[in-house]
Amino acid sequence: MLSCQNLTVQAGPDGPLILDHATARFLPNGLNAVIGPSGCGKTTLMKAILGILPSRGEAYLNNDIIHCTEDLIGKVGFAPQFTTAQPQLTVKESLLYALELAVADSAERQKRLASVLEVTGLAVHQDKRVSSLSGGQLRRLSLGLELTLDPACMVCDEVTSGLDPQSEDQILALLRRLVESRGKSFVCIIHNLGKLNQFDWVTVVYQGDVIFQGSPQLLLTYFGIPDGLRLYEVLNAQNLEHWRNRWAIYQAENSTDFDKAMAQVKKNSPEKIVSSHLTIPDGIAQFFTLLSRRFKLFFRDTGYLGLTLAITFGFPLLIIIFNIDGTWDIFKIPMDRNVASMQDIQHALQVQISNAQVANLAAGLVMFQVILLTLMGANNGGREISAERTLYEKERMTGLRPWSYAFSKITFVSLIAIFQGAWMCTFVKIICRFPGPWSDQLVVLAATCVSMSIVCLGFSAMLTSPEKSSLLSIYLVGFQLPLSGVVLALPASLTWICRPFINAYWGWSGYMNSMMSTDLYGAYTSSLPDQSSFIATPTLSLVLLLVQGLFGVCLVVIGCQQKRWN
Amino acid sequence: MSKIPPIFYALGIPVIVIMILLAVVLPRLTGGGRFADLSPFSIDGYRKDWATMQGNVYRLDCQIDQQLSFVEGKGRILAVKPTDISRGAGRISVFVALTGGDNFEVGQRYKFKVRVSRDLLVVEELEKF
Repeated sequence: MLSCQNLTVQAGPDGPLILDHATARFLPNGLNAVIGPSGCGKTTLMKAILGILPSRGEAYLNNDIIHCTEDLIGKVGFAPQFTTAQPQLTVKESLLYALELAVADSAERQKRLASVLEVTGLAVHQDKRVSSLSGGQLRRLSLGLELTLDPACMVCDEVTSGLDPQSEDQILALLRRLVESRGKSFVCIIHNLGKLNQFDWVTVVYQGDVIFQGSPQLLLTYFGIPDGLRLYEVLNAQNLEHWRNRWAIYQAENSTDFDKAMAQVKKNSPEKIVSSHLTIPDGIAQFFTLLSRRFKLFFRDTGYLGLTLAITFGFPLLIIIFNIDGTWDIFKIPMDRNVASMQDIQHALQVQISNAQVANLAAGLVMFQVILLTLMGANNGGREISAERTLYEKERMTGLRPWSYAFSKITFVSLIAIFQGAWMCTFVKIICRFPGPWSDQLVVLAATCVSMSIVCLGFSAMLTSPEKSSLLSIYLVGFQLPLSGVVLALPASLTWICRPFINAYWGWSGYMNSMMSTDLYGAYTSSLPDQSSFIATPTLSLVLLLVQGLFGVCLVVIGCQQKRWN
Repeated sequence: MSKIPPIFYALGIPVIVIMILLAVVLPRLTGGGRFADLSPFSIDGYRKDWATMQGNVYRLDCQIDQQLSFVEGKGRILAVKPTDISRGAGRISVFVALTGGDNFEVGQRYKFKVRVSRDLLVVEELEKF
């Protein structure tokens, strides 16, 4: 069972101590309550024990030191206050996906699904969407998701908070049933002191330290209160030092309380506790499960789907309005012209001006396509991981491999981006009749969208807040146009410092260069103020976009490796 | 427990180094194309004393301005303007032998490998850019 010794958590290197040398042990095969005034460190204590928060001191599971969260896979579950289940999935699908990520054997998955639905009482709601469940049903689903792994111990963070008394009783009754029928252990952070008598062991946390552990009856005697509801009043009457000293003296004089409580719960425990052997699916199976779940969610989330479709099909329409008839009238200047009169000079000048206008319109529209594709990329990747970070961290605790998760996300956004790039190229090329080879232009535009999507996905992996990662992605798009040096000339010293990082420059450059054999390209280069301006070939552009994409992949992998709980 | 994970160093640093290298290498890659190893042609130097440059091979980045002469079966003489005017401005004529496949138009940019042959620049290889 879980326990800890001198556990300390500090808010930053020089910040205050949130948990100060806390020592506690919890009762196996019983219902444990962790209580204390708001902000006292209850959740911090449990997250530090589980390795979710960085801490000093030791935490143990059955006397084995817990080094990291991965040590607890299949042994300890953590049900957060609010369910992490995806609202667009049904109850059954949520449980099935959780099982597919954690249990390799399909027969075992079906067995566990039936068992979890029955135990949690969710069988009648199995086809309901998670978004339509009541508060009590959501808490039961949270527990059900943890039960899929059949852990011996579960930590529940305020699973009864905010529920009506009847639902609260139903949840506590469910926990009690699991303790008595399956020998499970629960550590529940609770706020309702009126329900303390339904627990076997109570832990009181006060100002970052554990100042009492014992049975509910002992708690009343120890604090001299008629019922649990008076506890905080008594606690606040003394300072932390007083309660620490008192607890130290009490422990020295009454060291057998824990053993007595152990003996009591053993009487009610089932004789034989069957613990299932856990075989986690391999990384590839997890990758495909995640990808399948993501596409299902994509097609069910009408808001997100609508936005993606709107920008995918709407943005190309913005391009074509600038040249809907698809004419690029480039007039040739005779190679062997002889300027004989002012009229000839004027005519040649007019032709040059007209050609420059047409060519600059083409260059502008190519840049417009590229910028809109980078905007689509920001939309694809900007929130993808940060918006579901808690779910991901929870699934890691059940054995999900970060590599499987990272590459399922990279694949998902890349497939969307390829479609967007290909559609933008096809639609605009057909309507506006851009000259040049299809293959080069299609590949360059798709690569532009893919690399930007992956870089923005990297931001969403590195940041926990979806707002921050979206904002950073939008800023990145905003800098593309000015820093590309295509519209506004950059200072020479900055040009090649900025360009390797500017996605839009390479997308634009590769597309423009693909038209090299056409009059449009010649007219564009003629109109350049700096005739030595460089326009990269599609191949070089692809190499640079690939490097940028790889940079994004690194961000995604690093971000997914790190633990970032919201 | 809050230290940076090793994967950051394993993946992050090489990628950042690649990006920095690209910033350094790209301007060189983009400068000369296929003829990057050749010395850039100096129009000022050629006008001053073409005889000392005879037989030498240079890179000339230029834009087509006019076709001065075309001889069937032989080639053409083009007037071109250098794109980089730091070594001299104004038009200069080059001879391009007929090799087939090259359609010249006014305004097109080329990188030429040129050999100084008596008082004429002969284009030996060319690349559009």
